[in-house]
Amino acid sequence: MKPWMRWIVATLILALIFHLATVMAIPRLAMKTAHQRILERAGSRLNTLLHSPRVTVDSRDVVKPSPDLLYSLCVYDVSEKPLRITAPVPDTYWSLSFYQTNTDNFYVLNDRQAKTNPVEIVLVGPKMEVPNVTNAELVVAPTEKGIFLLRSLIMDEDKLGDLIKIQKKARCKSF
Amino acid sequence: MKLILKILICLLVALVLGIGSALLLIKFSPIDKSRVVNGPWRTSLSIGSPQAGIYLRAWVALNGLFALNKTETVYFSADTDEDGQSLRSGCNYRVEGRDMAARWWSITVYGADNYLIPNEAMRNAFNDQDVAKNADGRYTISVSSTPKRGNWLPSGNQDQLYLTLRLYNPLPEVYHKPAELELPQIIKEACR
Repeated sequence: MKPWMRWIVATLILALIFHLATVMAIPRLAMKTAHQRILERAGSRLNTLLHSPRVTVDSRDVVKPSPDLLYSLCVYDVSEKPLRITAPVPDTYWSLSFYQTNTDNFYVLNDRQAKTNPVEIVLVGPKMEVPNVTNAELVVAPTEKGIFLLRSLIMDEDKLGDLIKIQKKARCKSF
Repeated sequence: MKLILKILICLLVALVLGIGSALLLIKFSPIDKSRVVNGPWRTSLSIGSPQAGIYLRAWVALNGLFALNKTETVYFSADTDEDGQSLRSGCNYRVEGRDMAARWWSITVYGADNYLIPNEAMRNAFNDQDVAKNADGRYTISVSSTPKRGNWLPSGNQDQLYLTLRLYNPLPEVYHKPAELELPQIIKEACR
């Protein structure tokens, strides 16, 4: 191989490494940024549900926010203690979802699938001893840190006030 | 000295090539097999699912973090009109459609930065409930920077516009035959 060819091959291999590193890093970076922004709003409290006000032009924490939805968010860490979620189910499209650090949505439940009202969920860490849970569904998180999201669809503007009241009854707590 | 210069050039070219090609592939995601094209609308049925490949995952992180899976919500996005021209505030558009096979749907316009566009009418989206429909159930939404009668979606002053169509709890036909659905048409009118 001629010396200049070696340089080209080395450059291409390096380019490939940079290429893959960029693609793999983007979800984690996006998630980290979202974590930080939500935590700032929540007064740096982990495992606390933050009820976002209705989406407006000033909502700039997460790209493409949906003005159709009311969001509540909780940045969790289940490395030491499990997390208990209590969420009443309104009469509209509603869903609760958990996201791990690589952005994967590992659990989702909507209003039509909810078996109880309120829905009770206990989230445990990947290495945690599974606690004896009654009256709640047990969910195992693939990563210790992640984000929990509640969505309620604003189908009827006139009922927005009631929807906000129901939203604010939801809780996310370590125990 | 010459060697250091060569190494530096090699590194720089690799950086530009590597990161540039990554961003391009993410933007156009030709690798994603689950990508669906329907007129100007695009979606991927692997959004929010563990089957999502690394490119799709990166695309979602940049364009719609915390997206839900297809049985919860199917997201179609458009950055061009029917003729494949980029959507921008300098042109007026007519979005024409009919009801869609979902529990609820909405059409939202975003600016070049992927956030909602500030406007005095305080309007960023139309949905199943608040869009004014004709007697036959069809509707027309005007996307323009100047006020329009009827369903007006203000587009502000943006080099690029993005439309997102959300179908909440879609009927199975939406994710079984997404390319054959009748989705709203995005028709360009006058440009300045």
